[in-house]
Amino acid sequence: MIRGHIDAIVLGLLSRDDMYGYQICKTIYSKSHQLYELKEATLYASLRRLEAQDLITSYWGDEDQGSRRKYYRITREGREAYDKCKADWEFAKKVIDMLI
Amino acid sequence: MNSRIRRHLDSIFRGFEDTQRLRDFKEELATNLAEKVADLQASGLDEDTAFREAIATLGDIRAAYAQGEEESRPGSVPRASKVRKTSFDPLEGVSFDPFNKEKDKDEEEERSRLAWGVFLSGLAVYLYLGFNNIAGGFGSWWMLALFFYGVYVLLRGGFGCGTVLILVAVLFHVGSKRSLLLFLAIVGVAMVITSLVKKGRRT
Repeated sequence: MIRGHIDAIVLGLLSRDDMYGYQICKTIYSKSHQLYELKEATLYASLRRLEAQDLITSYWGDEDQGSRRKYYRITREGREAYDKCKADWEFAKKVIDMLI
Repeated sequence: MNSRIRRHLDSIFRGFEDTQRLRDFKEELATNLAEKVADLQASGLDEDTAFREAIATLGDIRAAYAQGEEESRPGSVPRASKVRKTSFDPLEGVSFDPFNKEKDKDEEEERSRLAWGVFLSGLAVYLYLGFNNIAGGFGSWWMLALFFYGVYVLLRGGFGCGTVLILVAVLFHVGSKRSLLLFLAIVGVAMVITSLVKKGRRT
């Protein structure tokens, strides 16, 4: 069930800050109080979908030392899509809470 | 650790076209994995356990990459998977490196099991036809081709092939022809079935 909302969750995180892959996984893990751990495969499938729809873009960071990190940034279209997802979710949650 | 991570990623993406996009993706994953391993070690795990735990959370990363590859090509129709090659190669992923302790076994063991299963079942059929002189017996060209392919599989199989060769030799000389055939056929088919069942569960 959660996997069906991964795109919205990722957009939500990126709407606050640019992030790299592992940072997204780590943030989801800590924000869910260690209840939900996202696999890289699920994350990257989501990132590819969002990139294909121009909802996010990516760029390489300029770390001084060590390996490079690839950061993801939300686009204007991404923010609009996230707002819509959030509104849809609030409505669905309200209705489902009344019915289940 | 970085080189170990890179080797693991190379083995995962073996069979994919070596493009800039793939190299970038592997670099991105390597950075993530290195950081994850460091975090796990900081939480008290030893290096080996941390590595295994980190790669366990990758999931089916090949499918995620293949999906992106389709979407990055304008006008392309997405397919279920780009991972498979067109030719059947039971040895895909089985490396001839018996002493490499860092060989990443999770995926390779499964493929190796399928390769062995196919080979042993094939060997049983080969011996059966040869013993009964069916379709030209041992001397026909296709029998020879099958035999050399079998030798090739054994060589590529690496560790463990010696055991199988000894078992085959012992059964051949001590046991009857029938017991040898039965042994090979049962082991071979069992390996193919368990490999396919495992694969089915994973997808």
